[in-house]
Amino acid sequence: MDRTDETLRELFAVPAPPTLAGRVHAALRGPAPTLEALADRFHFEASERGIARLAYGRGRDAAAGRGRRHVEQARAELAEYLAGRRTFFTVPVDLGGVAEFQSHVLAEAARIPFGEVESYAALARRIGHPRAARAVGNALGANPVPVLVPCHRVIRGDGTWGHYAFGAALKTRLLELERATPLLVGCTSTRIVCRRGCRAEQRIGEDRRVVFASVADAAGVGYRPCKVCRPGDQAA
Amino acid sequence: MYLVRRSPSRQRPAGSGSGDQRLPARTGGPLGLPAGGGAEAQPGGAAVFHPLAAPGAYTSSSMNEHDFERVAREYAGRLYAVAYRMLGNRADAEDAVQRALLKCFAARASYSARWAVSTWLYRALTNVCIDELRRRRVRTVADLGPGAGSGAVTTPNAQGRRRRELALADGEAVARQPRIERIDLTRALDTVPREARLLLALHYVDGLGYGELAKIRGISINTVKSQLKRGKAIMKKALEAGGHDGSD
Repeated sequence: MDRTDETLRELFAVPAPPTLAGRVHAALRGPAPTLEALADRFHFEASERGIARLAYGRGRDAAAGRGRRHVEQARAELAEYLAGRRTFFTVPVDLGGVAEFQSHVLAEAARIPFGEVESYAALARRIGHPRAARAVGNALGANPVPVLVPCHRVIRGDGTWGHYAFGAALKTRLLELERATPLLVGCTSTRIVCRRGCRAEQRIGEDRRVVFASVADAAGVGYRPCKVCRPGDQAA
Repeated sequence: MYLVRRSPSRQRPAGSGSGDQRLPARTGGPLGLPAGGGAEAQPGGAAVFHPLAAPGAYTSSSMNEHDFERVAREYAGRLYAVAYRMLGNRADAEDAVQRALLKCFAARASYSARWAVSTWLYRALTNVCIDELRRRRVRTVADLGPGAGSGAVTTPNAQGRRRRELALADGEAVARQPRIERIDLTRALDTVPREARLLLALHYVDGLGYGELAKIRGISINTVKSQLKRGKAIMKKALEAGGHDGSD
Protein backbone atom coordinates (compact mmCIF):
# COMPACT_ATOMS: atom_id res chain seq x y z
CA MET A 1 0.00 0.00 0.00
CA ASP A 2 1.84 3.09 1.13
CA ARG A 3 5.46 3.56 2.02
CA THR A 4 4.98 2.91 5.72
CA ASP A 5 3.54 -0.48 4.96
CA GLU A 6 6.41 -1.38 2.71
CA THR A 7 9.05 -0.24 5.15
CA LEU A 8 7.40 -2.07 7.99
CA ARG A 9 7.12 -5.26 5.99
CA GLU A 10 10.80 -4.99 5.24
CA LEU A 11 11.59 -4.27 8.88
CA PHE A 12 9.72 -7.33 10.03
CA ALA A 13 11.32 -9.67 7.54
CA VAL A 14 13.95 -11.05 9.88
CA PRO A 15 15.81 -14.04 8.48
CA ALA A 16 15.81 -16.96 10.86
CA PRO A 17 19.19 -18.35 11.86
CA PRO A 18 19.88 -21.44 9.73
CA THR A 19 20.40 -23.68 12.74
CA LEU A 20 17.03 -22.91 14.28
CA ALA A 21 15.08 -25.68 12.60
CA GLY A 22 17.59 -28.28 13.68
CA ARG A 23 17.58 -27.11 17.26
CA VAL A 24 13.82 -27.05 17.44
CA HIS A 25 13.81 -30.54 16.02
CA ALA A 26 16.25 -31.71 18.67
CA ALA A 27 14.22 -30.09 21.45
CA LEU A 28 11.05 -31.81 20.27
CA ARG A 29 12.83 -35.15 20.46
CA GLY A 30 14.21 -34.55 23.94
CA PRO A 31 12.20 -35.56 26.99
CA ALA A 32 10.18 -32.80 28.57
CA PRO A 33 11.48 -32.25 32.10
CA THR A 34 8.90 -32.37 34.80
CA LEU A 35 8.84 -31.44 38.44
CA GLU A 36 5.43 -32.85 39.14
CA ALA A 37 6.79 -36.12 40.45
CA LEU A 38 8.34 -34.25 43.37
CA ALA A 39 4.97 -33.22 44.75
CA ASP A 40 4.47 -36.49 46.61
CA ARG A 41 7.80 -36.25 48.36
CA PHE A 42 6.91 -33.27 50.50
CA HIS A 43 5.30 -33.52 53.89
CA PHE A 44 3.80 -30.89 56.12
CA GLU A 45 3.25 -29.90 59.71
CA ALA A 46 0.31 -27.69 60.33
CA SER A 47 -1.34 -25.95 63.23
CA GLU A 48 -4.85 -24.59 63.40
CA ARG A 49 -3.63 -21.35 61.91
CA GLY A 50 -1.76 -22.70 58.93
CA ILE A 51 1.23 -24.61 57.62
CA ALA A 52 4.06 -24.44 60.12
CA ARG A 53 6.64 -26.62 58.42
CA LEU A 54 7.35 -28.15 55.05
CA ALA A 55 9.98 -30.84 54.62
CA TYR A 56 11.27 -32.92 51.79
CA GLY A 57 11.98 -36.63 51.80
CA ARG A 58 10.90 -39.22 54.33
CA GLY A 59 8.53 -38.28 57.07
CA ARG A 60 4.87 -37.96 57.81
CA ASP A 61 2.35 -35.19 57.94
CA ALA A 62 1.71 -33.86 61.41
CA ALA A 63 -1.56 -32.08 61.81
CA ALA A 64 -4.73 -32.26 63.81
CA GLY A 65 -8.16 -30.79 63.45
CA ARG A 66 -8.26 -27.87 61.07
CA GLY A 67 -4.59 -28.29 60.40
CA ARG A 68 -5.40 -31.36 58.38
CA ARG A 69 -7.42 -29.30 55.98
CA HIS A 70 -4.50 -26.90 55.58
CA VAL A 71 -2.24 -29.82 54.75
CA GLU A 72 -4.59 -31.09 52.09
CA GLN A 73 -4.85 -27.67 50.56
CA ALA A 74 -1.10 -27.12 50.68
CA ARG A 75 -0.40 -30.44 49.00
CA ALA A 76 -2.86 -29.72 46.20
CA GLU A 77 -1.50 -26.22 45.64
CA LEU A 78 2.07 -27.41 45.71
CA ALA A 79 1.33 -30.06 43.11
CA GLU A 80 -0.27 -27.44 40.87
CA TYR A 81 2.64 -25.12 41.39
CA LEU A 82 5.16 -27.79 40.43
CA ALA A 83 3.10 -28.63 37.36
CA GLY A 84 3.23 -24.99 36.25
CA ARG A 85 -0.45 -24.40 36.86
CA ARG A 86 -0.22 -22.07 39.84
CA THR A 87 1.67 -18.87 40.53
CA PHE A 88 0.58 -18.10 44.08
CA PHE A 89 -0.38 -19.90 47.26
CA THR A 90 -3.54 -19.25 49.21
CA VAL A 91 -2.92 -21.73 52.02
CA PRO A 92 -2.23 -19.86 55.29
CA VAL A 93 1.25 -20.08 56.75
CA ASP A 94 1.80 -20.13 60.52
CA LEU A 95 5.01 -18.39 61.47
CA GLY A 96 4.16 -18.38 65.18
CA GLY A 97 7.26 -20.20 66.34
CA VAL A 98 9.69 -18.03 64.40
CA ALA A 99 11.85 -15.27 65.87
CA GLU A 100 10.97 -11.69 65.10
CA PHE A 101 13.82 -10.84 62.73
CA GLN A 102 13.35 -14.04 60.79
CA SER A 103 9.62 -13.62 60.42
CA HIS A 104 10.30 -10.11 59.19
CA VAL A 105 12.67 -11.46 56.55
CA LEU A 106 10.26 -14.21 55.54
CA ALA A 107 7.36 -11.79 55.25
CA GLU A 108 9.43 -9.58 52.98
CA ALA A 109 10.65 -12.52 50.91
CA ALA A 110 7.05 -13.58 50.41
CA ARG A 111 6.46 -10.31 48.58
CA ILE A 112 8.94 -11.06 45.80
CA PRO A 113 6.71 -11.64 42.80
CA PHE A 114 6.49 -14.98 41.05
CA GLY A 115 9.17 -15.37 38.44
CA GLU A 116 11.39 -12.65 39.91
CA VAL A 117 14.61 -12.83 41.87
CA GLU A 118 16.18 -10.52 44.40
CA SER A 119 19.56 -10.38 46.06
CA TYR A 120 20.16 -11.01 49.75
CA ALA A 121 21.52 -7.46 50.06
CA ALA A 122 18.45 -5.90 48.44
CA LEU A 123 16.21 -7.85 50.78
CA ALA A 124 18.30 -6.66 53.73
CA ARG A 125 17.85 -3.07 52.57
CA ARG A 126 14.12 -3.54 52.27
CA ILE A 127 13.71 -4.66 55.85
CA GLY A 128 15.75 -1.69 57.01
CA HIS A 129 18.99 -3.49 57.91
CA PRO A 130 21.22 -2.72 54.93
CA ARG A 131 24.27 -4.42 56.44
CA ALA A 132 22.49 -7.60 57.44
CA ALA A 133 22.70 -9.48 54.14
CA ARG A 134 24.30 -12.50 55.81
CA ALA A 135 21.75 -12.52 58.59
CA VAL A 136 19.06 -12.44 55.94
CA GLY A 137 20.73 -15.42 54.30
CA ASN A 138 20.70 -17.34 57.55
CA ALA A 139 17.10 -16.42 58.24
CA LEU A 140 16.09 -17.66 54.81
CA GLY A 141 18.22 -20.76 55.18
CA ALA A 142 16.18 -21.66 58.25
CA ASN A 143 12.92 -21.02 56.44
CA PRO A 144 10.46 -23.54 57.90
CA VAL A 145 8.17 -23.37 54.88
CA PRO A 146 10.30 -23.25 51.73
CA VAL A 147 8.49 -22.85 48.40
CA LEU A 148 5.38 -21.50 50.17
CA VAL A 149 7.56 -18.62 51.34
CA PRO A 150 9.67 -18.32 48.22
CA CYS A 151 13.19 -18.20 49.59
CA HIS A 152 14.37 -19.72 46.29
CA ARG A 153 13.73 -16.33 44.69
CA VAL A 154 16.54 -14.80 46.70
CA ILE A 155 19.94 -15.17 45.06
CA ARG A 156 23.39 -13.74 45.62
CA GLY A 157 24.23 -10.22 44.53
CA ASP A 158 26.73 -11.39 41.92
CA GLY A 159 24.04 -13.41 40.17
CA THR A 160 25.05 -16.85 41.40
CA TRP A 161 22.42 -18.95 43.08
CA GLY A 162 23.74 -19.28 46.60
CA HIS A 163 22.52 -22.06 48.85
CA TYR A 164 19.16 -23.69 48.99
CA ALA A 165 17.71 -25.99 51.59
CA PHE A 166 16.76 -28.57 48.95
CA GLY A 167 19.94 -28.17 46.94
CA ALA A 168 21.07 -25.84 44.20
CA ALA A 169 19.68 -28.10 41.49
CA LEU A 170 16.15 -27.75 42.79
CA LYS A 171 16.58 -23.99 43.15
CA THR A 172 17.52 -23.84 39.49
CA ARG A 173 14.59 -25.95 38.46
CA LEU A 174 12.14 -23.93 40.51
CA LEU A 175 13.41 -20.68 38.99
CA GLU A 176 13.25 -22.21 35.52
CA LEU A 177 9.74 -23.38 36.18
CA GLU A 178 8.71 -19.89 37.25
CA ARG A 179 10.34 -18.49 34.17
CA ALA A 180 8.30 -20.74 31.94
CA THR A 181 4.95 -20.25 33.68
CA PRO A 182 2.77 -17.37 32.54
CA LEU A 183 1.38 -15.18 35.27
CA LEU A 184 -1.70 -13.53 33.79
CA VAL A 185 -4.09 -15.60 31.74
CA GLY A 186 -7.14 -14.23 29.97
CA CYS A 187 -10.15 -16.11 28.70
CA THR A 188 -11.13 -15.17 25.16
CA SER A 189 -14.80 -15.85 25.68
CA THR A 190 -15.42 -14.18 29.03
CA ARG A 191 -12.82 -11.43 28.50
CA ILE A 192 -11.63 -11.78 32.05
CA VAL A 193 -7.98 -11.88 33.05
CA CYS A 194 -6.92 -14.03 36.02
CA ARG A 195 -3.76 -14.94 37.84
CA ARG A 196 -2.62 -18.41 36.97
CA GLY A 197 -3.91 -20.77 39.62
CA CYS A 198 -7.17 -18.93 40.28
CA ARG A 199 -10.08 -21.36 40.34
CA ALA A 200 -11.73 -19.43 37.52
CA GLU A 201 -8.51 -19.61 35.51
CA GLN A 202 -8.29 -23.37 35.92
CA ARG A 203 -11.56 -23.78 34.13
CA ILE A 204 -10.44 -21.94 31.01
CA GLY A 205 -10.16 -24.29 28.05
CA GLU A 206 -6.81 -24.78 26.39
CA ASP A 207 -8.00 -23.10 23.22
CA ARG A 208 -9.31 -20.01 24.98
CA ARG A 209 -6.19 -18.95 26.84
CA VAL A 210 -4.26 -15.81 26.08
CA VAL A 211 -1.44 -14.43 28.16
CA PHE A 212 -1.10 -10.79 29.13
CA ALA A 213 1.89 -8.87 30.33
CA SER A 214 0.00 -6.60 32.66
CA VAL A 215 -3.52 -5.87 33.80
CA ALA A 216 -3.28 -2.51 32.05
CA ASP A 217 -2.43 -4.19 28.74
CA ALA A 218 -5.36 -6.52 29.17
CA ALA A 219 -7.67 -3.61 29.98
CA GLY A 220 -6.41 -1.83 26.88
CA VAL A 221 -7.81 -4.55 24.66
CA GLY A 222 -11.02 -5.02 26.58
CA TYR A 223 -10.30 -7.56 29.35
CA ARG A 224 -11.33 -6.93 32.94
CA PRO A 225 -9.51 -8.31 36.00
CA CYS A 226 -10.99 -11.30 37.79
CA LYS A 227 -12.85 -10.54 41.01
CA VAL A 228 -11.74 -13.75 42.69
CA CYS A 229 -7.95 -13.59 42.37
CA ARG A 230 -7.72 -9.83 41.81
CA PRO A 231 -4.73 -9.62 39.50
CA GLY A 232 -2.88 -6.34 39.85
CA ASP A 233 -3.77 -5.82 43.50
CA GLN A 234 -0.94 -7.91 44.86
CA ALA A 235 1.71 -6.46 42.59
CA ALA A 236 2.67 -3.74 45.06
CA MET B 1 -11.60 -29.68 28.42
CA TYR B 2 -13.45 -28.50 25.38
CA LEU B 3 -15.49 -30.95 23.46
CA VAL B 4 -16.46 -28.83 20.53
CA ARG B 5 -15.82 -30.59 17.29
CA ARG B 6 -16.91 -29.76 13.82
CA SER B 7 -19.04 -32.25 12.01
CA PRO B 8 -16.96 -35.05 10.49
CA SER B 9 -17.55 -33.77 6.98
CA ARG B 10 -15.35 -30.76 7.75
CA GLN B 11 -12.48 -32.86 8.95
CA ARG B 12 -9.97 -34.17 6.51
CA PRO B 13 -7.27 -36.73 7.05
CA ALA B 14 -3.96 -35.07 7.79
CA GLY B 15 -0.58 -35.90 6.43
CA SER B 16 -1.78 -37.78 3.38
CA GLY B 17 -0.49 -36.83 -0.02
CA SER B 18 -3.95 -36.17 -1.34
CA GLY B 19 -4.43 -33.52 1.31
CA ASP B 20 -1.40 -31.63 0.13
CA GLN B 21 -2.31 -31.60 -3.50
CA ARG B 22 -5.44 -29.68 -2.81
CA LEU B 23 -3.48 -26.75 -1.45
CA PRO B 24 -3.18 -23.69 -3.56
CA ALA B 25 0.52 -23.02 -3.52
CA ARG B 26 1.72 -19.56 -2.73
CA THR B 27 5.09 -18.59 -4.00
CA GLY B 28 7.47 -16.20 -2.32
CA GLY B 29 6.21 -15.95 1.23
CA PRO B 30 7.61 -13.21 3.42
CA LEU B 31 10.45 -15.38 4.56
CA GLY B 32 10.44 -18.41 2.38
CA LEU B 33 10.99 -21.77 3.90
CA PRO B 34 13.26 -22.03 6.89
CA ALA B 35 16.42 -24.01 6.42
CA GLY B 36 15.79 -27.63 5.71
CA GLY B 37 12.13 -27.13 4.95
CA GLY B 38 12.69 -27.51 1.26
CA ALA B 39 13.17 -31.22 1.67
CA GLU B 40 9.45 -31.61 2.02
CA ALA B 41 8.49 -29.19 -0.71
CA GLN B 42 5.27 -29.82 -2.50
CA PRO B 43 5.13 -30.85 -6.15
CA GLY B 44 4.97 -27.20 -7.11
CA GLY B 45 8.65 -26.72 -6.29
CA ALA B 46 9.62 -24.17 -3.64
CA ALA B 47 6.02 -23.26 -3.00
CA VAL B 48 5.12 -22.04 0.44
CA PHE B 49 1.96 -23.34 1.93
CA HIS B 50 -0.35 -20.67 3.18
CA PRO B 51 -2.63 -21.64 6.02
CA LEU B 52 -5.30 -19.07 5.33
CA ALA B 53 -5.64 -20.10 1.75
CA ALA B 54 -6.65 -23.59 2.77
CA PRO B 55 -7.94 -23.80 6.31
CA GLY B 56 -8.68 -27.48 5.93
CA ALA B 57 -5.14 -28.41 5.04
CA TYR B 58 -3.68 -29.73 8.25
CA THR B 59 -6.91 -30.24 10.04
CA SER B 60 -7.83 -33.42 11.76
CA SER B 61 -9.14 -34.13 15.19
CA SER B 62 -5.59 -34.10 16.46
CA MET B 63 -2.11 -34.02 15.05
CA ASN B 64 0.42 -36.79 14.94
CA GLU B 65 4.13 -36.39 15.51
CA HIS B 66 5.05 -36.40 11.88
CA ASP B 67 2.56 -33.71 10.96
CA PHE B 68 3.70 -31.61 13.82
CA GLU B 69 7.31 -31.77 12.78
CA ARG B 70 6.43 -30.66 9.31
CA VAL B 71 4.37 -27.78 10.62
CA ALA B 72 7.13 -26.78 13.03
CA ARG B 73 9.71 -26.69 10.28
CA GLU B 74 7.49 -24.70 8.07
CA TYR B 75 6.61 -22.06 10.62
CA ALA B 76 9.85 -21.82 12.56
CA GLY B 77 11.16 -18.97 10.40
CA ARG B 78 8.05 -16.85 10.65
CA LEU B 79 7.62 -17.53 14.34
CA TYR B 80 11.21 -16.46 14.82
CA ALA B 81 10.66 -13.20 12.95
CA VAL B 82 7.71 -12.31 15.14
CA ALA B 83 9.58 -13.24 18.31
CA TYR B 84 12.66 -11.33 17.25
CA ARG B 85 10.71 -8.13 16.74
CA MET B 86 8.90 -8.59 20.04
CA LEU B 87 11.86 -9.48 22.21
CA GLY B 88 14.60 -7.63 20.39
CA ASN B 89 17.37 -10.19 20.46
CA ARG B 90 18.29 -13.45 18.92
CA ALA B 91 18.74 -15.63 21.96
CA ASP B 92 15.41 -14.75 23.55
CA ALA B 93 13.63 -15.08 20.22
CA GLU B 94 14.99 -18.57 19.62
CA ASP B 95 14.13 -19.53 23.15
CA ALA B 96 10.59 -18.28 22.69
CA VAL B 97 10.09 -20.16 19.43
CA GLN B 98 11.38 -23.31 20.98
CA ARG B 99 9.21 -23.00 24.04
CA ALA B 100 6.10 -22.22 22.01
CA LEU B 101 6.66 -25.20 19.74
CA LEU B 102 7.29 -27.46 22.71
CA LYS B 103 4.04 -26.32 24.27
CA CYS B 104 2.15 -27.01 21.07
CA PHE B 105 3.87 -30.34 20.72
CA ALA B 106 2.80 -31.36 24.20
CA ALA B 107 -0.76 -30.27 23.40
CA ARG B 108 -0.87 -31.63 19.86
CA ALA B 109 -3.45 -34.23 20.86
CA SER B 110 -5.87 -31.50 21.78
CA TYR B 111 -5.36 -29.59 18.56
CA SER B 112 -8.79 -29.04 17.14
CA ALA B 113 -9.93 -28.81 13.57
CA ARG B 114 -11.63 -25.53 14.31
CA TRP B 115 -8.25 -23.85 14.37
CA ALA B 116 -6.04 -22.87 11.54
CA VAL B 117 -2.59 -24.21 12.35
CA SER B 118 -1.14 -20.74 12.09
CA THR B 119 -3.60 -19.37 14.65
CA TRP B 120 -2.72 -22.13 17.04
CA LEU B 121 1.04 -21.69 16.70
CA TYR B 122 0.97 -17.90 16.75
CA ARG B 123 -1.17 -17.85 19.84
CA ALA B 124 1.27 -20.11 21.65
CA LEU B 125 4.14 -17.94 20.51
CA THR B 126 2.52 -14.66 21.47
CA ASN B 127 1.66 -16.07 24.88
CA VAL B 128 5.29 -16.94 25.45
CA CYS B 129 6.58 -13.60 24.16
CA ILE B 130 4.12 -11.53 26.15
CA ASP B 131 4.95 -13.35 29.34
CA GLU B 132 8.63 -12.81 28.71
CA LEU B 133 8.00 -9.09 28.29
CA ARG B 134 5.95 -9.02 31.46
CA ARG B 135 8.88 -10.44 33.34
CA ARG B 136 11.29 -7.87 31.92
CA ARG B 137 9.08 -4.96 32.83
CA VAL B 138 8.77 -6.08 36.44
CA ARG B 139 12.51 -6.64 36.59
CA THR B 140 13.40 -3.14 35.49
CA VAL B 141 10.93 -1.61 37.90
CA ALA B 142 12.41 -3.65 40.72
CA ASP B 143 15.91 -2.63 39.67
CA LEU B 144 15.10 1.05 39.80
CA GLY B 145 12.67 0.89 42.68
CA PRO B 146 14.13 0.11 46.08
CA GLY B 147 17.70 1.34 46.02
CA ALA B 148 17.47 4.20 43.56
CA GLY B 149 20.06 6.26 45.40
CA SER B 150 22.31 3.51 46.70
CA GLY B 151 23.54 0.40 44.99
CA ALA B 152 20.78 -0.73 42.65
CA VAL B 153 23.12 -0.51 39.71
CA THR B 154 25.98 -2.23 41.47
CA THR B 155 23.94 -5.31 42.32
CA PRO B 156 23.19 -6.75 38.93
CA ASN B 157 21.37 -10.02 38.86
CA ALA B 158 22.00 -12.89 36.52
CA GLN B 159 19.15 -12.00 34.22
CA GLY B 160 20.15 -8.40 33.88
CA ARG B 161 23.70 -9.29 33.06
CA ARG B 162 22.65 -11.89 30.58
CA ARG B 163 20.43 -9.39 28.84
CA ARG B 164 23.25 -6.88 28.58
CA GLU B 165 25.55 -9.51 27.10
CA LEU B 166 22.88 -10.44 24.61
CA ALA B 167 22.40 -6.81 23.73
CA LEU B 168 26.12 -6.59 22.97
CA ALA B 169 26.01 -9.70 20.84
CA ASP B 170 23.07 -8.21 19.03
CA GLY B 171 25.02 -5.12 18.18
CA GLU B 172 26.67 -7.10 15.41
CA ALA B 173 23.39 -8.06 13.87
CA VAL B 174 22.22 -4.46 13.84
CA ALA B 175 25.50 -3.26 12.40
CA ARG B 176 25.12 -5.63 9.48
CA GLN B 177 21.92 -3.91 8.45
CA PRO B 178 22.99 -1.15 6.14
CA ARG B 179 20.71 1.74 6.85
CA ILE B 180 20.59 3.99 9.87
CA GLU B 181 16.88 4.30 9.32
CA ARG B 182 16.42 0.72 10.41
CA ILE B 183 17.99 1.32 13.79
CA ASP B 184 15.70 4.30 14.31
CA LEU B 185 12.74 2.16 13.38
CA THR B 186 13.76 -0.57 15.77
CA ARG B 187 13.97 2.01 18.48
CA ALA B 188 10.59 3.43 17.52
CA LEU B 189 9.13 -0.06 17.65
CA ASP B 190 10.19 -0.29 21.27
CA THR B 191 7.95 2.66 22.09
CA VAL B 192 4.88 1.01 20.58
CA PRO B 193 2.69 -0.50 23.35
CA ARG B 194 3.09 -4.24 23.73
CA GLU B 195 -0.28 -5.34 22.42
CA ALA B 196 -0.05 -3.09 19.39
CA ARG B 197 3.53 -4.17 18.68
CA LEU B 198 2.51 -7.77 18.74
CA LEU B 199 -0.29 -7.16 16.26
CA LEU B 200 2.06 -5.17 14.03
CA ALA B 201 4.56 -8.00 14.03
CA LEU B 202 1.98 -10.63 13.19
CA HIS B 203 0.42 -8.42 10.56
CA TYR B 204 3.63 -7.64 8.76
CA VAL B 205 5.53 -10.88 9.12
CA ASP B 206 2.88 -13.21 7.85
CA GLY B 207 0.37 -10.81 6.39
CA LEU B 208 -2.31 -12.04 8.77
CA GLY B 209 -5.69 -10.38 8.43
CA TYR B 210 -7.78 -8.69 11.11
CA GLY B 211 -9.92 -11.75 11.63
CA GLU B 212 -7.06 -14.07 12.39
CA LEU B 213 -5.30 -11.48 14.56
CA ALA B 214 -8.48 -11.16 16.55
CA LYS B 215 -8.62 -14.92 17.02
CA ILE B 216 -4.97 -15.18 18.01
CA ARG B 217 -5.25 -12.55 20.72
CA GLY B 218 -8.85 -13.21 21.68
CA ILE B 219 -9.94 -9.63 21.06
CA SER B 220 -12.52 -8.05 18.82
CA ILE B 221 -11.76 -7.12 15.24
CA ASN B 222 -12.39 -3.48 16.02
CA THR B 223 -9.80 -3.59 18.78
CA VAL B 224 -7.36 -5.14 16.34
CA LYS B 225 -7.99 -2.32 13.92
CA SER B 226 -7.59 0.43 16.47
CA GLN B 227 -4.46 -1.10 17.98
CA LEU B 228 -2.86 -1.59 14.58
CA LYS B 229 -3.68 1.93 13.61
CA ARG B 230 -2.15 3.25 16.78
CA GLY B 231 1.03 1.26 16.27
CA LYS B 232 1.28 2.24 12.67
CA ALA B 233 0.85 5.89 13.50
CA ILE B 234 3.80 5.76 15.90
CA MET B 235 5.96 4.01 13.33
CA LYS B 236 4.94 6.42 10.60
CA LYS B 237 5.88 9.36 12.75
CA ALA B 238 9.29 7.83 13.45
CA LEU B 239 9.74 7.05 9.78
CA GLU B 240 9.03 10.62 8.77
CA ALA B 241 11.27 12.04 11.46
CA GLY B 242 14.03 9.56 10.55
CA GLY B 243 13.73 10.41 6.87
CA HIS B 244 14.52 14.03 7.62
CA ASP B 245 17.64 13.70 9.71
CA GLY B 246 18.71 10.29 8.44
CA SER B 247 18.89 10.30 4.66
CA ASP B 248 18.83 14.05 4.01
